Amino acid sequence: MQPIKLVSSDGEIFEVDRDVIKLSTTLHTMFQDLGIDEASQAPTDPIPIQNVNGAILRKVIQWCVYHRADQNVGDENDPREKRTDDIPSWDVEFLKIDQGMLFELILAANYLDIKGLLDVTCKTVANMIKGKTPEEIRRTFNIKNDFTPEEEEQIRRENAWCELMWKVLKHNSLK
Amino acid sequence: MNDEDGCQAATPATEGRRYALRRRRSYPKDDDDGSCKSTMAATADEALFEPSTKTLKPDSPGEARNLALLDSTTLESTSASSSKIPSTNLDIKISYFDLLSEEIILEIFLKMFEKDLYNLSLVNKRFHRLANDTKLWKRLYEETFEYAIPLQRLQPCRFDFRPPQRWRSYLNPWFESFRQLVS
Repeated sequence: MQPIKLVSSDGEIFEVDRDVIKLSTTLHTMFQDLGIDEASQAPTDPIPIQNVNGAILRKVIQWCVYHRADQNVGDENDPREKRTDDIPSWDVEFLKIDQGMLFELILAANYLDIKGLLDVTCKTVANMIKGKTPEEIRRTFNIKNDFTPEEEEQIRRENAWCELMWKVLKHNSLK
Repeated sequence: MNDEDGCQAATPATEGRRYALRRRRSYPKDDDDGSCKSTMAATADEALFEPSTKTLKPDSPGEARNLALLDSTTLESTSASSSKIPSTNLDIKISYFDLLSEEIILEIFLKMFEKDLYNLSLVNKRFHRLANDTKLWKRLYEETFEYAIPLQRLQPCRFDFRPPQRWRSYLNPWFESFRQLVS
């Protein structure tokens, strides 16, 4: 089984085994559409991955190589699962990267349709949000507050029920 | 399983248990599933309220890491660690969230419970719109209460099913029903 060549947006070439490539639904479907199966000759020209640069593509391939033997990780998980504390330890280490790269990985996972990688990167971002106040979320992700003080006040007023309920719950849980 | 029964006694009311009062009895599915859902709600809750006292399990490093971040009084640790990596340019005043499509942001928001959705809705206008997304709240409603149709409160302690299309005066029937059920 010959490896397949991929070329990143900035011209870096990677050789990847087919069972690794299978994790990308986008590429897998493309190969099927082109009638390229395991038995046939690998295409000689490298396949351009237009939206992904070399640094990110290397990371994506590294993730796929580690997870190549997984049994449909993405499909097994209940997509409605709100649990985010179950990231495998290898992935936790793998995702100790700066925020820019994390978000680029999300984009690449989405573009290449790699469900497991998309899931684990989204969970990581979700973990960076959970338990934070709006201001802390803004600071973490460098988000500008575009509400006027009046608008902000109105949202708080409309949602007073939430605040009240959580105060009661917190109070009870501390008893 | 024990969660469902425990909710009858109005002792330490975690969010999960409180909602369990309003919740349809779970289908008699396999034990794992039934108990898992309640535990998850309770766990998320604890994390929100008492991050520092929560025991960190060695088998859940993701959570451990998250809580470690929460524990730090400022968020400097997050940005400081990323600033060491040369590929980040902290001077740019854009948010990486600007790169993401709304579809992907909703994917992240789908992992949130209502309290975090509320906090997200106060971040900026875009987040406010997305955190109030109808589909998002439909899912949250279905997961929390296990009903397929929003319940409307007619009077205290009296609820009736009202199909989503009949909540005309409300932008988001699922959100509104959720509010009526828990407040």
